[in-house]
Amino acid sequence: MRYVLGAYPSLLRVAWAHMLQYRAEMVIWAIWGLVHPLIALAVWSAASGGRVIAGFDQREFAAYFLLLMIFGHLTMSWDAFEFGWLVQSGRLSPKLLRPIHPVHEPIAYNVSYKVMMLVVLAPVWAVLFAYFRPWAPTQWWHIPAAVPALLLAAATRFLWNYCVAMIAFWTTKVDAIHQLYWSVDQFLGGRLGPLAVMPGFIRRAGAWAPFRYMTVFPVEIVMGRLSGTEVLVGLAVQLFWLGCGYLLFRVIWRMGIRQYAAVGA
Amino acid sequence: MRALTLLVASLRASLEAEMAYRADWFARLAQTGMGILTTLGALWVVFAHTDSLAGWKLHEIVALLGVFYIVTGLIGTVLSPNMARIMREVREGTLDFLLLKPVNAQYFASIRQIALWRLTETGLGLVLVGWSLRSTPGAIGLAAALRFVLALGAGMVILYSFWLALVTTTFWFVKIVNIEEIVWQAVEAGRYPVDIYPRWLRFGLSYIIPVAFVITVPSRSLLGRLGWGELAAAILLAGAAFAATAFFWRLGLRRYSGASA
Repeated sequence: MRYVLGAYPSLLRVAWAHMLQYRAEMVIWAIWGLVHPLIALAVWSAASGGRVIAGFDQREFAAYFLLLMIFGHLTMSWDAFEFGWLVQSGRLSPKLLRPIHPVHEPIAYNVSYKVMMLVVLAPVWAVLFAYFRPWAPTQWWHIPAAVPALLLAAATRFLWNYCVAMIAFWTTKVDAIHQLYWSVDQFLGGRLGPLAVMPGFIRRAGAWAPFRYMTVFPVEIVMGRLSGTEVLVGLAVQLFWLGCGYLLFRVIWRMGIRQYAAVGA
Repeated sequence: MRALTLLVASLRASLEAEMAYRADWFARLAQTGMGILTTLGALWVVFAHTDSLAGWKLHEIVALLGVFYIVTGLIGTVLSPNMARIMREVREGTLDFLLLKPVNAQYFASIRQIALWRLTETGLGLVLVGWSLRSTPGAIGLAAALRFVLALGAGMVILYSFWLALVTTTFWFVKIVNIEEIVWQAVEAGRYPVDIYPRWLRFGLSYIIPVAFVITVPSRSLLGRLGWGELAAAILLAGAAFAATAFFWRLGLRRYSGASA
């Protein structure tokens, strides 16, 4: 454990320096995080046309999607795209020779990316907040309550995304499987719209499925519509899905690495 | 005539390369299919709460979604592979191999790399268009098809001109910025009719990154909402854009000095 923690300062330094070199590309890529929620907001604004849908008016939709933009950035991970390439090109092999698990490198890159992009994204978010004038029935205690939810969400999403990514150990068709995972996340993870506006069966499925607890649960907390009990229950469910994600990660990794054979392995 | 032979050769090369990976084709088909179903599901959820979206009814937006996939398929087949290759070769100095060939450089650079498999998106888009408009009179017919093809063609020429102009800036700013990603981000906004966006964004999506011309305008022609005047204006704009870009490209070429020059 000390081994691993001792490696992190170097891992983070390398990740930071590497990404700083490609900052233009990073920024262009980060724009996706703005595009999807903004399009969804435009759709729901046009759909509501001034009316209230499931308790959401224009400004609350704006609040929801702007929060989703911010928390989406803070919980995102991209290993599903990269891991397949690592496996197929054999570039995973040298990483297996290190005395720490290969997963720590992507964690370092993930954290560095999120922090680095804040420099560019935070002003954009501020402008969007000023432009859309979002509003929600938030109370003061919702903000500190959202912090553990956010950290748990980021960790849960990272692990689950990594598990999906590890399917690359067995097939080259990871993109198709990833598309399925992403599609389900759109509905059950509150990306298309708040779970409250979804039809009943989606809402019920989404209430307990892991997707909600990977990104949108902190958003719901800050939106101020959850009671204290619901927040606590939600945090407990997050811990549950985080645990499941970790177990799944360990199991899939052990199975996958056993049959990994590539250049240098 | 040689120009046509080159195009056929490109197509054949792409087909031969891709027939070797048939399983991939099925996976990509499944992937696109899931993407379509996701957007259809989203529309179904949205239309549970409203009858129209910025004046567009559900089946009209589904038709637009079909046009969206027709367009992304065409972009992915012919446009993005070639644009990416031009930028790479300018940076690496290997564009010389293109310039030395006895054929118009801009033409050959625009057609030499084709990714036929992305036509599956176009195919699915056509199916979606046909299905959504099956009960609309006047949408199917020779005049409607002609209007649509003209509008789509004009839109694609405008988008091509815009993209090539961006790529041509590589002759001056050699460092590769991932321009393709920005275009895809703008195209993503075209998944829904541009009418849902505020006016300033609609302007941006029409005249800055011309997504509206390539998706919303052809869709309106399918729904009989595009006047002949507007269509003529789009075609004129396409012609002007093409001429301007061709001129800009020649300027850029003059600037180019390859790895060996």
